[in-house]
Amino acid sequence: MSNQLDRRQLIRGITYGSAALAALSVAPWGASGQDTGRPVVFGMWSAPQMVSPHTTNSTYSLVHSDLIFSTLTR
Amino acid sequence: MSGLADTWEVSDDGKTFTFTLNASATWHDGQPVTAEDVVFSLTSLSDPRTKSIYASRFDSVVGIDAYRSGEADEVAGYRVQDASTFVVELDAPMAEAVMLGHLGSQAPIFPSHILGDVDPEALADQAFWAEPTVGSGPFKFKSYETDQYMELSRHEGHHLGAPSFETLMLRIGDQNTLQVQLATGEVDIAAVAPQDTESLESNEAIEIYRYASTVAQALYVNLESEALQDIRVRQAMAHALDRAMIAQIALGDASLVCNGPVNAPEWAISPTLTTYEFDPEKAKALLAEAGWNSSQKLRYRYPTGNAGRELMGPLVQSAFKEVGIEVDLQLTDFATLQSDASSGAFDLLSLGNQNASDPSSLALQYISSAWPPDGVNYGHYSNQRVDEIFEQGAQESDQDIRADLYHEFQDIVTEELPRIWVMLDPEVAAVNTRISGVEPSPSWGLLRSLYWNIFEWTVTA
Repeated sequence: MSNQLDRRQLIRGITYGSAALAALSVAPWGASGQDTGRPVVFGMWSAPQMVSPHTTNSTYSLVHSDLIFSTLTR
Repeated sequence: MSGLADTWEVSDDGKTFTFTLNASATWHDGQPVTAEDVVFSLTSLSDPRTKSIYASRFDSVVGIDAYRSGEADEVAGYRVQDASTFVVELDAPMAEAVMLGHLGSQAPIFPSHILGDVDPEALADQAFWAEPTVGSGPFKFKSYETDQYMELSRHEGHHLGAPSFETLMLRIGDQNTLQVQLATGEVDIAAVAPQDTESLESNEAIEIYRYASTVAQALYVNLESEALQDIRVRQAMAHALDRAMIAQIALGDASLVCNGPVNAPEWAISPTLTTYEFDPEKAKALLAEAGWNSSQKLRYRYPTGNAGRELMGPLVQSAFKEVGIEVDLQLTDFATLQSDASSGAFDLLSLGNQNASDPSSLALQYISSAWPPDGVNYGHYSNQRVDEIFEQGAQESDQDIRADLYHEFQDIVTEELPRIWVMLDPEVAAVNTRISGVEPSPSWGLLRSLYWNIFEWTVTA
């Protein structure tokens, strides 16, 4: 058995809402934009925490990679 | 977030998994990500000395006992085949979905050239975890100002594509402050409380994304409580709740009713589970049959920190009162509640559960060997067939058989009601329209759901 699933297809199957679909239509796979120099600011309700190597907080997933992209299993 | 493995193969006997890494993956210092890094990370993940809470998931890896006892320096079942290929070999078969779940978001891969020489017992105490200067994700750590912000800059060499913008600021704030900052454009993207979207809806610079999550809000029933041992009492509680109404009031329009423990993925949801329609008269009749003593009061414990769940408490209280069940609502902080839950100091416990990638992950909530402190089966549920199902389901590779097994599990627990399932949390995010390409996915927690493809976003000024 071998696998190479299209995670985007899987996600599209479970995401709903016209806004999400609208975003998809303007941002095709591989689209690249111009860097405007202005930071993107992501608001978070709670501070990132990293208490041990194996209890990562999702914030740190911006810095670290997983072995398997989780959605592949859904 | 970024998967490092491009492809993998499973042997016919379900015991050997061969993974091939994306050959262009690099660490933030320019070194290549190799199979050695993966074997180092998996070895530390499997080693209780690193304080890994997931170590037990890897009990069936070949040679794990010899490594843990100190007889071997390496885990024989983790093998580097070449720079970008590695093998995991097991003593017993494991379902592919279970293996992939184990190696998913809870198993990040770390640089062995930075951490490889650290003693396993000291690994968890490294400063690296708070300041991860070398990762392989789309952004590099730059600085962190405690409780204020974290600054990240793009990793040009990210193997799935470099982000289109240089700087990502993670600004920490309470919900109200962030909501104001979203409106003024100081914050570009944030999760918002489902109840608080009205003012943002009318702002043309903001797009609202709503999606049902897989976080189920349910009441754990303490099956050691004498008052709750009669199944008719639990059935009465299930019939007493107008779930649609409760979900609508507590969570707004995007909420969904929850009828059982598995809400995703689609194949795993049982079509034959027992559901309990809102029927207060039936609830009263069941209580009468069970000889319910209406003068007793049940302790309903619930934690702060989730507005919808907090609203659910009084709604359930009022619905139960309607049929003759009195509950004493006790709201406490999460840490206290968790400790009290483990010691059984509750009759009903209101908690949310993330429905993870595969139903096998629910084992620690339902199997009889997972009573606290060995798991989170807080209500002390025990059913031998359910135990067998989870054991078999984790090893079975035939997906149709797995579906049948997990359907049977749901049919059993919705019949026996160790929980009363109520609603699914909706997730709502507000995104400035200058950002394109956001594709919220309900799969795995609010933040990851939002930025899983951040390296594909495009941004205008």
